[in-house]
Amino acid sequence: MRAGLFVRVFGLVFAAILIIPTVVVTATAFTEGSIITFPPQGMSWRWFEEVLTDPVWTGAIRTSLTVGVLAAVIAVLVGTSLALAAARSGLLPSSLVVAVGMTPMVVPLVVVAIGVYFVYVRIGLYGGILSLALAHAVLGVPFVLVNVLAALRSLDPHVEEAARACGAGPVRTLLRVTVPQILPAALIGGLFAFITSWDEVVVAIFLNTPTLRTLPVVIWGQVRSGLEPSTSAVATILTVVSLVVFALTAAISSRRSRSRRVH
Amino acid sequence: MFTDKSRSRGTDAPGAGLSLEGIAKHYGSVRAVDDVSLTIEPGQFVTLLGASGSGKTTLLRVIAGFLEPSAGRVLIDGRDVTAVPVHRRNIGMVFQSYALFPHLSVARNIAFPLAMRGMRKAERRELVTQALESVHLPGYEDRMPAQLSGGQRQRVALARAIVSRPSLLLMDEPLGALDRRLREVLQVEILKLSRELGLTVVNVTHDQEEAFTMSDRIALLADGKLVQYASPEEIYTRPVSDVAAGFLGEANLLRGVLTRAADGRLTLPAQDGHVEIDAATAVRSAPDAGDEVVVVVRPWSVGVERLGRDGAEPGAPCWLRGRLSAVIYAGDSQKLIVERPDGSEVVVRRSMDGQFEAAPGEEVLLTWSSRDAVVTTAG
Repeated sequence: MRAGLFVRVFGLVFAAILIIPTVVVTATAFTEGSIITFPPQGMSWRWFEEVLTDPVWTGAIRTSLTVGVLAAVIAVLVGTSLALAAARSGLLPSSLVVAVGMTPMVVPLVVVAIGVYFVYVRIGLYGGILSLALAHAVLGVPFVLVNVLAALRSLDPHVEEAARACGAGPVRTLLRVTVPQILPAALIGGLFAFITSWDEVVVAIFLNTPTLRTLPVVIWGQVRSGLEPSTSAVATILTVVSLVVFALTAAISSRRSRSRRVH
Repeated sequence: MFTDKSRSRGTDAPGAGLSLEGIAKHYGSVRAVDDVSLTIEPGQFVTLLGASGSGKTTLLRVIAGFLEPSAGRVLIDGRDVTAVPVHRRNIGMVFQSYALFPHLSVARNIAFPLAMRGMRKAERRELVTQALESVHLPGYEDRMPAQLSGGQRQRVALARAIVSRPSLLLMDEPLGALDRRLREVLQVEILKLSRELGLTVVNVTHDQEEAFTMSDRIALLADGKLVQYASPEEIYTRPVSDVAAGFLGEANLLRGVLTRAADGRLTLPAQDGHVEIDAATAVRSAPDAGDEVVVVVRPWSVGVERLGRDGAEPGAPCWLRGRLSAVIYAGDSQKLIVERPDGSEVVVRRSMDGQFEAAPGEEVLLTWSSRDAVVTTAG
C-alpha cells in the first residue's frame, strides 16, 4: 500500500521534530566558541577533550557505566527467573507473576524514586553504587520479563520433552536446553535495561550523593548552573552509547530470526 | 549406573518388553484413556492407531512418563516404572515437530543422550558417526538444525533417539509433517533400522496405511478404549467390531438382526437383496437367529454386473441391487459407488481391465461369496 502525499509529508515533519533537538545538541558540541550557539562556530573536538579530561565528567561516566552494567545484570537474572516462573513453574498463576514484574513500568517514576529513597535511608543502603544499581534494575526488569516470556512462549515444548527423553533431568534440561534458547531474548532485555539506567534521571537524583552522580544527574546540575558546550559534548556521548546499544539489540534479533527462518 | 546398562547392551540385543496394566487417564469426567492393557514383546513394532481424540497420544505420553496415569501400571522388562521420571526410563523419543535442539549442531544433538549418560567425548564421536550413517546422513555433523530440510531433521531426530540404544523407541506421529513420498521412504527406513537394532518400538499414528506397512501389531483405540490388539492382517480380516472394520481399510457395513430361513441358513434381511451369512466367518461366538450383527464386506470382494431386464431374482446367495451413482478412477483401480434403494451406499473396487463399461445411473447387481464377508458386532 502506498502512503498518500499528506501522510508522507506529515511523517517527514514529525520525524524532523523528533530528530532536530538531538541534531542541534550534537552540532553544538563541536563548536570552537565557549558558549552554546546554533549553528556552531567552526568545528573542533575541544569540548570532547575537556569532558574526557575533567574528573567530574569522567567520574560520572564511570559511575553511569558501572550502575548501568550492574543494573542490567541484575535485571537479566531477576527478569529471566520471573519469566521462567510465569511460563513453567505452575506454582504461581502466570498473570500474577507478570503483573508484579511489570509494576515498575506502571508506577510513576517519581513515586518509585521517593519510595526507594525512604527505604534506603531507613535500612542504611543510601549512597551505595550497588543500591542505585538495584533501584535501576527494578526499572529494567519489565524489559527482560516481556522479552524472555515471549521467547519462552514461542519455544516448541516438545524440545524440552525431547531433552527429558534423552535422559536430562529437569535442572539439566533448564540449563542446557531452555536457557540457551532464551539467551538472545534475555540479552536484548538486558541491553534495554542498561539503556533505561543509562539515561534515568529521577531515581538517580533522589539517590545522588557528592560521590555518586551519574551522567544525567551531572548534566541536570549543569543546566541549572549555566550551560557550556561541554554539556552538549556529554549529551552527544550519551546519545552515541545509546545508539550503539540499540544497534547491538538489532544485531542480536536479526541473528536470532535468521537462525529460525528455515522452518 | 545407566552408563553401565547402556554399554553392556550389544548392538544385536533386543529392546525391552513393555506391559501396560489397566492404564487409565482421566481429566475431570473425561476418560482420555480408559482401562487399556496390552503387552509388547521385546523387538516388536507396535502402532497405536486411532482417530484424533482416541487417546493414542495420551497413552504414549503415559508410557514415556510425561503423564502420570490415573490408574494402572507401566512395566518395562517386568519392572514397574510408573513412578520413574522420564529421564530415568531409558527411552528414545521422536516427535512430529522433530524437536531438535536448535542451538546445537547435528553432532551435538545426537551426542546429547550420550552426554547425559556420562559418556566421554571421544567415545561419543564414534557412536554419533555410526548413528548418522544409519540414517543416511553421513558428514552432516556440523550442520545446524535450521539448515536442514524436514526429512533430514526427522532423520537426525531418529539418530538422536536410537544412539544410546534405548530399551524403548517411542514415536509420536513421526512422519505426520512430511509429504507422502518422503513418508513412504522413511517408513521403510525406520522399519529396517528398528529391525537391525532389535528395537522395541511404539509408534502413534492416525494413518492406517502407515500402521499396515510398519507394524507387527496394531493397537486400535477409539474413545480411550482398546478396540483390538492384533496383527494388521488379523484386524483386517477379522475385525472384532464395526469400528475396527471401518478404521482399517474400506468396508461396507451391513447391519441388521439375523433370521433363520426354512432351510436352516442364516440371513440378514435386506431390501432389494439377499444376504446369507457363513457362520464360519463370525469373529466372536457362533451367530444365531435374533443376533444383532454387522456384516463386513470389503469393496474388492464385491462383483458388479448389469442388471438383467427380466427382473428375475438372482440365484446367488449374496446379492444387492442398486443404482450406480459414481465411477471414480483411482490410478490402477476403479471405485464404484452404488446407491441402494434405502439411501445407503455400497463401495465396490475393481481392476480396470476386462470389465463392462459402467456409467452412472445404471441399475446394477452386486454379488459376493458369503465366505468373503465377515460377521461381527457393533462396537
